[in-house]
Amino acid sequence: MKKLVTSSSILLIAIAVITQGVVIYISNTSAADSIRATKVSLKLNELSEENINIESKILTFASYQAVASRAAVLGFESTRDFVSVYDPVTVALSR
Amino acid sequence: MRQANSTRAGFVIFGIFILYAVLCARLFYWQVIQAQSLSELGRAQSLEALEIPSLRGQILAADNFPLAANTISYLVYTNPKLSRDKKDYSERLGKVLDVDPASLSAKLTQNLFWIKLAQNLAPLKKEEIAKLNLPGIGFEQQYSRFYPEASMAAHLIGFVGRDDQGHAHGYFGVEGEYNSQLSGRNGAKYGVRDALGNEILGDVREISKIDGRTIRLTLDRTVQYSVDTKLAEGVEKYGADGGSVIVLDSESGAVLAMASYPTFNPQKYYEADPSTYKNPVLSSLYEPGSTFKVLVMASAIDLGRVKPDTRCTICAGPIQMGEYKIKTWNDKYNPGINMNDVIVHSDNTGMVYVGQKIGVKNMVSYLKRFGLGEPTGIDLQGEATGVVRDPESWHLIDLATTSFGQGVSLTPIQLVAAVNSLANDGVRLTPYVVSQIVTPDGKTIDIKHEGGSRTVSAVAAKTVTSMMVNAVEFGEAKWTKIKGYKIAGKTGTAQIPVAGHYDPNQTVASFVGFFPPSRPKITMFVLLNHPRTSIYGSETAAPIFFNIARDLIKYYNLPPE
Repeated sequence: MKKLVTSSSILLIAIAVITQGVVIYISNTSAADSIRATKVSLKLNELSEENINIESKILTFASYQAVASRAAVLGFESTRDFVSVYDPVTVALSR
Repeated sequence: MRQANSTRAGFVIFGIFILYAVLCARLFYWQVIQAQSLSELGRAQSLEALEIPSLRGQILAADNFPLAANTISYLVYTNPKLSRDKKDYSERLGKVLDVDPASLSAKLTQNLFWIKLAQNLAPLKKEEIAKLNLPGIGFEQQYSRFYPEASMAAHLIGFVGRDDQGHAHGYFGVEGEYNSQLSGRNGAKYGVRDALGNEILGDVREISKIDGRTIRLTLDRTVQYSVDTKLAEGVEKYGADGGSVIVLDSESGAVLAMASYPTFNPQKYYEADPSTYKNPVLSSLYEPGSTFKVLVMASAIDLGRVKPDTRCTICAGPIQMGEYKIKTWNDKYNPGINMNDVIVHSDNTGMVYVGQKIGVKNMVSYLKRFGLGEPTGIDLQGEATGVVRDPESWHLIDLATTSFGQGVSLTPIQLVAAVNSLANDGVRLTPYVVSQIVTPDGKTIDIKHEGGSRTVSAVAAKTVTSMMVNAVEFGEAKWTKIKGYKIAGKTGTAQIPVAGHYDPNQTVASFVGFFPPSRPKITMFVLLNHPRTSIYGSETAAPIFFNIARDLIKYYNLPPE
């Protein structure tokens, strides 16, 4: 009887120790995952912010206002008149 | 002794009863009367709410380039109690923010823990401030509206300001008309706290935000750019107070460009005069003058009362109508002039003849068919309409002046929609600016537009079109026409009513037309307010029209006819 009580107690203590170990392991893992998730979330916010800022810059540089003022600085001018071909142009004369 | 005991027991029971009664009353007070406020107080203590702003939808041009987008800006704040040397603090900050240090110093003396220093700061500016390492400085990220093309089509796009509760709200133009579609719905995040105010990790409740929808316009950025620049140049060159241009796709009524001058930058709308916010194309009524003649002539031809070769029998000189004398614009008269030449030379007396042939009742009926007296139905905010009076209240002089476009008022969009019906075989279409709405998950909703209503027969429309072609070829604006290209057009020089009479020196100069005349692709209207170098439409509005038309012919590769 005494032996049964002793072995049961040892078994219960062992189960308690193992369970505690599992809890500690899971807590540590999930805590690490949580830190990683927070880092990913922060990075995501940072990249979205950067993305919007870059998009704004691209739109500013690609706007007609910016292109036109840069073209004027570089000396480009749009042609005032245009050429119209009224009669069909003869092609492949040698044939 | 026994009686004394029972009295004592009675007191005890009564005391217990009173205690229970007080307890019940107190419980009733807390649980019923104060229940709601206490429950709100509890929620406020335990929940921390954080608003998640929705992203406002973009406004795209027809080529998908955003005319209104979102950018990140920053609000900079500080805790004044942490700034010890306020003078040095405000001087360093003032230099970066480009603000008077004295005003910053005044803010820093306030007995507060949080004060706003500036907002709408660009990321670079934020970095500059962060590098100063000033104590108490903090930043709050915000979304702000960004207009990459600055003032391009500002009247059509509108702007985003703040409503009474400080929330972003669209005003004027597309931003105003489609505010509910563009704004979406803000979300919220609730963090739960314990009795000591510590955050309970992992217990976060969230209401998801719904981003705004994107609006795709019919506006062609290339056409709009040409219109913007040519209009600004024209207003300056002719010394006008302002002007407007509308370009429509003749077949669909889609607005390809819409510009007015003076204009404003929607991003800095608060720096502009608020009177410039309104879109004059939709909200300014004016007397159209001679551009209106084509509509009256089309009505007479549709009724079968005149033909292009019908001769005027009252055009030998000025026409006396009671106390009024009706003259031609140059006081030169052409006895027996035919209807084609009435349009070519913009002859007022010839139009009085046409008006008389139409009659008051028919005139009112055709004015309504051309859309006068009712909004065109364009999908923009702030459309005004003139009034078309009942035939009973018309006098002979009203019929006469209306026939050459005076004494009748309409908006530029009403006129261009009416003239576009001539380009479109007599069918008046509703002008529109929005072609599609795109949901945040990428679903595209096409906006359907109604078929239109008939103004005049296709034959009458074609007949007037050929008269308008002749007006460009042989009329007053022939000096500025495009060589080799036929355009159907008509000049307009309208006097402005001032204090009961017309001011002869102040006019609204305009030109309306469409091209190519055989199968119109573009319908365009140019208007100048009070041009000073010349009062005539043929010398001011017409050159602007043809300058823009040159660009459009090149852009759309329209062959000569």
